Amino acid sequence: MRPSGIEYTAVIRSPPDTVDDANDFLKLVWVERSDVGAEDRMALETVLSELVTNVIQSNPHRQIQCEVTLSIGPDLLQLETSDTGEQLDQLPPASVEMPANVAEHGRGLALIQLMVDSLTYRHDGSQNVWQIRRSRRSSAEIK
Amino acid sequence: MTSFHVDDVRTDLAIIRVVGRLNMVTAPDLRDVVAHAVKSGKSRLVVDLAGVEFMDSSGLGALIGALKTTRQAGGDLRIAAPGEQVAMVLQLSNVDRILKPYENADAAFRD
Repeated sequence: MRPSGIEYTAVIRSPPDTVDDANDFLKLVWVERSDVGAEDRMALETVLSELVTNVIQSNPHRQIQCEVTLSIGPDLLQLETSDTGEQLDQLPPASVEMPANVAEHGRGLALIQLMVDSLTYRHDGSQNVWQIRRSRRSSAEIK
Repeated sequence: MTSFHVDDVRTDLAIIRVVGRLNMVTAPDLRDVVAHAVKSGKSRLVVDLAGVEFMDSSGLGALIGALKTTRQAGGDLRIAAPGEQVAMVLQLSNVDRILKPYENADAAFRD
């Protein structure tokens, strides 16, 4: 089932693009979509930053193209990234544990899982596709 | 564009005011600024996060690395004034257990 929402798309080509370009893309979407609440914005910005960072860091010696699609439905937010980087050796675990407090790396996927209803990965033959879904919080729920 | 401004408070104490984003682009800069400050004798540091509009796990990693750098020099690092998104990331990751956010930079080393 796809969410019946309006789609917003950006393409990141790194280098020279960086994770800042992914963040800038969402800032532009928020200008148009003031109906997306602060809690959902913070979650999507954080999730996208972690996804794009992983793609760039996993492919240090090659240019990657990463297409980002955000779908905003009445009740559901869906964010998908399709990248041309190396295929993952193994599927990410269904539940990633937060590393020890003193660890300096390894929090990205664990953080994402805490902010979404679902996180999936697939390789479609030529691209890595990450997809997250998150139920929209109503403004009244924002503290 | 993220900027780092270092305010010397006392011989061994400085406040690093960060404005912008802390992500994979700028996290290495924070590590460098902290390493330089510690090398110049400032082993007690406050990272003032009031101007940080966004932080992800790369920023968290840099803060933890910076904490280790100060402690290895016999000092400490504290953080102050995180905004809503930064506070959310600190809390979800449990990093707020080792880096308790202070209300503002002045409060961070009052004790």
